[in-house]
Amino acid sequence: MALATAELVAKAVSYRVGGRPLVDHVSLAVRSGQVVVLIGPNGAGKSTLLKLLAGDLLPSGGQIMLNGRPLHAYRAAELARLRAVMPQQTVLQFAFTALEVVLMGRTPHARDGRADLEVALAWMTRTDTDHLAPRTFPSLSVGEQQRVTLARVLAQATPVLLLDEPTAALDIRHQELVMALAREAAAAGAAVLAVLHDLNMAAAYADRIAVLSGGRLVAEGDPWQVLTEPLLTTVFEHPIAVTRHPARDCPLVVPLPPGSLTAPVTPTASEPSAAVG
Amino acid sequence: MAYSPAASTRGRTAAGVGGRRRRALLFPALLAVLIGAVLLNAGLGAVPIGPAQVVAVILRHLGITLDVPVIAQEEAVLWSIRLPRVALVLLVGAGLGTAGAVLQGVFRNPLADPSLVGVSSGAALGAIVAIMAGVAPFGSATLPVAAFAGGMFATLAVYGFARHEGRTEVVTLILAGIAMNAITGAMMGLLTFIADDRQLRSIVFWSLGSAGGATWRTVLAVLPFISAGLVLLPRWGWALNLLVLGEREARHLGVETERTRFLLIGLSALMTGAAVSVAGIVGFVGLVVPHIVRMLAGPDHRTLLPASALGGAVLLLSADLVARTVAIPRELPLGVVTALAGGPFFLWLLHRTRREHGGWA
Repeated sequence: MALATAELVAKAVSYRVGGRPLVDHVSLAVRSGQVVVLIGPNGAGKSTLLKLLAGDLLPSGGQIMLNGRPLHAYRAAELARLRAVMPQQTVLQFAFTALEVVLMGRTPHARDGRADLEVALAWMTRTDTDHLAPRTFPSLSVGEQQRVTLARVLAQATPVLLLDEPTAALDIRHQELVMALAREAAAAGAAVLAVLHDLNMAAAYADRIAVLSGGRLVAEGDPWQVLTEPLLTTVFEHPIAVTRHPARDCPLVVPLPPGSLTAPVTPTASEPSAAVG
Repeated sequence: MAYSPAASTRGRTAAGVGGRRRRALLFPALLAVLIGAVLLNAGLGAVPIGPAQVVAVILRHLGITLDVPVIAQEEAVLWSIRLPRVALVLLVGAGLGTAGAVLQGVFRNPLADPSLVGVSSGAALGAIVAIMAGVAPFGSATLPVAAFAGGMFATLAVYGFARHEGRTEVVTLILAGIAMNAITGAMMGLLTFIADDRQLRSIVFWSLGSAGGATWRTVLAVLPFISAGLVLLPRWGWALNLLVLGEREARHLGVETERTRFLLIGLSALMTGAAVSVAGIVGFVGLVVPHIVRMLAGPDHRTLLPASALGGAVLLLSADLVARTVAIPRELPLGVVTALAGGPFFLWLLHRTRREHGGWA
């Protein structure tokens, strides 16, 4: 089904706490049909940028526009029909069932018990959580909770999806499943932004990769442009080699032992990076 | 709907909605128990009165005459002593049960209770200050008004303290509530220390809780405040469900979290302040009742709030029946009965939850 096209744009956005910039003049756009992945070392400001884009934090400088209108001008109910946010972790103190949690994703829309139930169960099937439906959410493993949360976010059926480390607690099969669902949503017209730590997941599934370091956007481009040895080695302060994925048309990122001064020569020399920061 | 999940649902129609039948039975069962409790509370006492007479008297005051003989003395006891007390206990119990369920949801903390945000202790302090001051600018309503003002003041102080740059941190709020309880507790202790014998008796009687002073006037005085909460709060059941998911998550799903939380806490404080102002401190109802309802019907606030109102009314009516009849002609303080029954029950609940789900956090 076709979606309204959506565009989430950060214009020179900064966020400072006590004078220290956590996000520093970052400009970034996510549009319908794209999967944009944010990478960067711990403390680079990825989650802060995601919170700014979600409207959880007000920028100290710059502006965030959703479909040409400032983000803070939207009411919560309006925004909930336009963008969904998948948090890193959900801690529930009460014994809601997994199905009830997924059904909460339907609340922004006009209520229709039967249709809502069908949508919820269908997304649970797609996220491989349908067998967990009657179980209580707190009794699930962290990985199961993460997939149930993804089902909730997808059930919200919004044209913008913000995913904060959606694969962090998942096994390989479910990591691939989750990123494939993100790609599928983009193919159907969603604008998807995901924070990822796994650079190979980013390489395999991103249309564009944005690299944050020290709160600044240091590179943005397609995986071949961004995932280069010099850039990654500098940004992550660790020697990193980049080669070609044996089965996919994308880079394969391999960390080298600490102290390796020069990365070994790889068959596919990386193309020049498109640094913008 | 936007992108569709496309896959078949494998014929699963209502997995996990198994609590539905239980929920459907819950309300008729609670209502039946409540009616039974009302008849028992109205009927038992120094002058026993049959359920038919109770129903006849209630209906006659509503303009329906039944062909049931009622002795004038029975009628007098019922209408001027027992029924106002039943109505007051019912209202206070329903209010405390609902307020407890709401606050537990708002604070995402199953151990939250009206006393947590300082409502109860603030109200207690307000009443004790009024007793000590010995002035009565509002006549017989002075004590309730002072209690109510104290409760609202404490709540607003705690809430205002926890707000920072337009956001409210729940942990700060809970810690501020603890600090407020410590301050009001110390001030109450000080006032108790300097009180004379007559004041002391009044303070003790009031701070242990009692429905003994119930008249139709006190019932009418708290009716608007408590029924406002009983009617309005269940409308936010869906928002409470989302708030339990997390403050950010709730906002992402369309809840104006700040406004909603302020409203929910405000209405709960209003109900609790009203309840404490006429019945003194009655603990454990707001804590225990929502737990029992969750065990029976799950955590969905759309069910939890009305069910906690009915459950709170039933529980407090039972407690008042015990308080009134166990040591005739003397009366036990209501708060002592609820704490004596509620405390051990809550320990058992903790033990059970720990064993079955590994605890709450």
